[in-house]
Amino acid sequence: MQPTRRDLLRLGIGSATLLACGNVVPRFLARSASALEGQPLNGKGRVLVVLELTGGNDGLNTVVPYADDIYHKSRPKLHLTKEQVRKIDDHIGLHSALHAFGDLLQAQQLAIVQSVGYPNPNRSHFESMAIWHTADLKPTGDTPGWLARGLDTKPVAAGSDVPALHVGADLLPQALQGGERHIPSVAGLEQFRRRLNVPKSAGPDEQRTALDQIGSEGRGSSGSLLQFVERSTLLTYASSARLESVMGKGGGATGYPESYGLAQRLKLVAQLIKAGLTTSLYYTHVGGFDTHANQAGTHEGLLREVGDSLKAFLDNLKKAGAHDRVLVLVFSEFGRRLAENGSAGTDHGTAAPVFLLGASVQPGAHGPRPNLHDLDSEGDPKHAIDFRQVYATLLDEWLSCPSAKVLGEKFDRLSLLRKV
Amino acid sequence: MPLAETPWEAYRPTPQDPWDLRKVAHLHRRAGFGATWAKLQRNLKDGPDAGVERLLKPRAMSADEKLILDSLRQGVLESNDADRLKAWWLYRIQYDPDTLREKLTLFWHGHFATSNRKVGSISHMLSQNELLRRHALGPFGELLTGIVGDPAMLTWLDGAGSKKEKPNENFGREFLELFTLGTGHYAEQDVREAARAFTGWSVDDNKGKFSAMDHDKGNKTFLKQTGEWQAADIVRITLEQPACAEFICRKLYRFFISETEDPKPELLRPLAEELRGHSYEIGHVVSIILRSRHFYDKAVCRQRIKGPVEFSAGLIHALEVPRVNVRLPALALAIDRQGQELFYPPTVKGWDGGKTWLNSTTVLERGNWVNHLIWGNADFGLNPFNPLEWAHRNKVPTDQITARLLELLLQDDAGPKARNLILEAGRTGTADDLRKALQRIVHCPEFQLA
Repeated sequence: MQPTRRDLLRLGIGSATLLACGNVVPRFLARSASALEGQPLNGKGRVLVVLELTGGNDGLNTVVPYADDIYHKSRPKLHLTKEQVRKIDDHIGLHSALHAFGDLLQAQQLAIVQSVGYPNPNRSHFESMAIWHTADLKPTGDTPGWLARGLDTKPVAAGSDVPALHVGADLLPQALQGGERHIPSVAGLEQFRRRLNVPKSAGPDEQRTALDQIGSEGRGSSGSLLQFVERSTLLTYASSARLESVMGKGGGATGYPESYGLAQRLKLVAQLIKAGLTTSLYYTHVGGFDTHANQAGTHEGLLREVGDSLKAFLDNLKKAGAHDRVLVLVFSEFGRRLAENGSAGTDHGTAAPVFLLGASVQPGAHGPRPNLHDLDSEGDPKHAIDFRQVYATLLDEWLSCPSAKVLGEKFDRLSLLRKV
Repeated sequence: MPLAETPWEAYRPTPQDPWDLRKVAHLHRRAGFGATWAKLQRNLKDGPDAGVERLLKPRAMSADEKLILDSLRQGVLESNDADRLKAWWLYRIQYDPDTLREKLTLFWHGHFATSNRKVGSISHMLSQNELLRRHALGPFGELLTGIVGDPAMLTWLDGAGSKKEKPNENFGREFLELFTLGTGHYAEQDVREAARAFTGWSVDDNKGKFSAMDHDKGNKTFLKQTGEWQAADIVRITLEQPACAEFICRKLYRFFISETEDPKPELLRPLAEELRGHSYEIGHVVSIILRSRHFYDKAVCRQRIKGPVEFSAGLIHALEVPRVNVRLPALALAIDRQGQELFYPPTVKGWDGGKTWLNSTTVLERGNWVNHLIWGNADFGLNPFNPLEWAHRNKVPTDQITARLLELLLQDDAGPKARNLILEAGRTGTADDLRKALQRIVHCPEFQLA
């Protein structure tokens, strides 16, 4: 349903913007605007939170094949012993820094998918990341992201919020690019205020109206850079107004480690979920996983940040009664080589584990363990599960998007989610 | 092919295609960080050749200027403070007479993107920046050779400590993928062999040091050539590849001309041939670009989204905000928050630029920052911008201030409605009304484009 002009006037981006748009409100803005107007639907739908571990997480030191001799021989400096892992079974265990994941496993809130990758693995960070983001084995910079394509299959309900939010100060991930709708990035609520700074004596209201009119003259031709600037600007003003309206709601969270950036970003996500945004997708990332040298301490710290932050997030949602509608996906662009290098680090590899967290998962380890006796020509474990099978499962069973349409072909789904 | 038969033929003003303010401002946005009113007027009068010549052969720094710069540099080293390092570079960007070199230093910083997050040494980051500046316009091979033994790079991509027993592939891979050839022009084996050839380096006494003992002396087959290659051989063999010249020219094209379209082969090839034919001399190709008909084509004007440094430092520069009112650390912070933290690029690929500069957070940061610049902000130690002082310095009559500010910052590129709203705001000529006009100018979507 097209929003009425009255709906739009409640946006808080200034009526002048809409007047300047003329009778026809630009379709993209109408959508975002309807999504951002003053009294939105109260979100009760399912939410997917995607956490990207940037740089290539060392899967073999995350889910550790501690019972395998080859593992210990290949990593004289970096190997973790039986005593140093939190055992999952007689073969594998979690890095001890992931004790929170251990607790979540016990609470039946963690699924581990092992040996996830794709054919002819690409060892470039950027190309492999693009492959994961687009679910396309030969992507270009313009290939739309898999999540953007998924969102495009869903109808837009009147009064709903933006369909997805990127939480972070860095650039919008390709997974969310190239769809019909612009996706905003938010680093934090405080930074998300528009401050005109015009003194009272100089007429701030008149100035705001003029600036909104200038921002929406709409001179950019279709697909031009100028049009992109115009749209980004208008969407920003609208999103800023909407998020200002939920500030102070959905707060009251404890247990998030202060020093972890990830914990703070997840706290914001929880706040927005609890405040009733209908947004169904949140995306954030943690960097630093490209551990070519002196890996041990760095990797341990990163895993601790990931585990402790996600645990706090899920605990917080549980308290608020929202945990059964939130699912978290954790992935990285590739794992790392079995053999450590000469700098007490590891070089780029291939297959690695993917994690799903939340009350709706089929808990435990899925998929075959990496076979360290059958490596590829570069010395990397071969993949057994295609990452697009994980995506297909999430699209069909969690986001209710037709996976074959989004991914371009049919992939066998995995039993990762409980049937509800 | 002679350049005269390509779009790189030199631009000559004609009555139909005159040398006008839009072209002068375009040149300064692309080759530098914008220009003051006086500089625009001078180059408008003197013509395109004089404008480009001044960029390529800038005046030398005065003794006083050198002294200030040296003491700022000393302060960086003594304080070991990343904020002062950023401020030092922003000072150069604002005040160094050699703006083209500063612009290219920024280009190379994005190309050989090295972050202090891992390097953890202000002095190494400073000396890498000086390396980039020194070779910014010279032969690319010399820059590459410098980078191979650069302490910050040795730490950043783990070249330091990569020994013959177990070579670390990090530097070898990015050398091929991001610094010279791009994917598709080498195989995994070339990465491994390059990594072997790069073994033996470490950082010693703040310098890159090569130790034959840790170096893999064996035969390597790199890009189909076999020998006992060392780093210098890898650089030499890589530069022999036509793909290398094309890779660098494609990036220069993106930087100087257009982010929206990849250059067509008929544009790229002659440029790459010029680069290879002139010992990979970057200045040679940059000079061709800046003089060319293609560069001044209306279709490429405002076809780049300004990066945060261009946007913020450029505005301060164009408005000639007095030195006492420029808080460099606050400027550095604003640029960080707009998504371009100098000396801390997000990954080894640098900043993607283009549309990725703008997301809702950075759009707000840009807007909020210009609003502070215009109306002042006590927290940042910023006084309100004084438009009357600007007019006085540039001998602009009071009733023309708004129109001249509009020409300075947007030339003829504002929309008709915006133009009316701007001129209307500044009509009374009071300082506050001129500020309102200025705020409207920089809120035009066109102002985000370079």
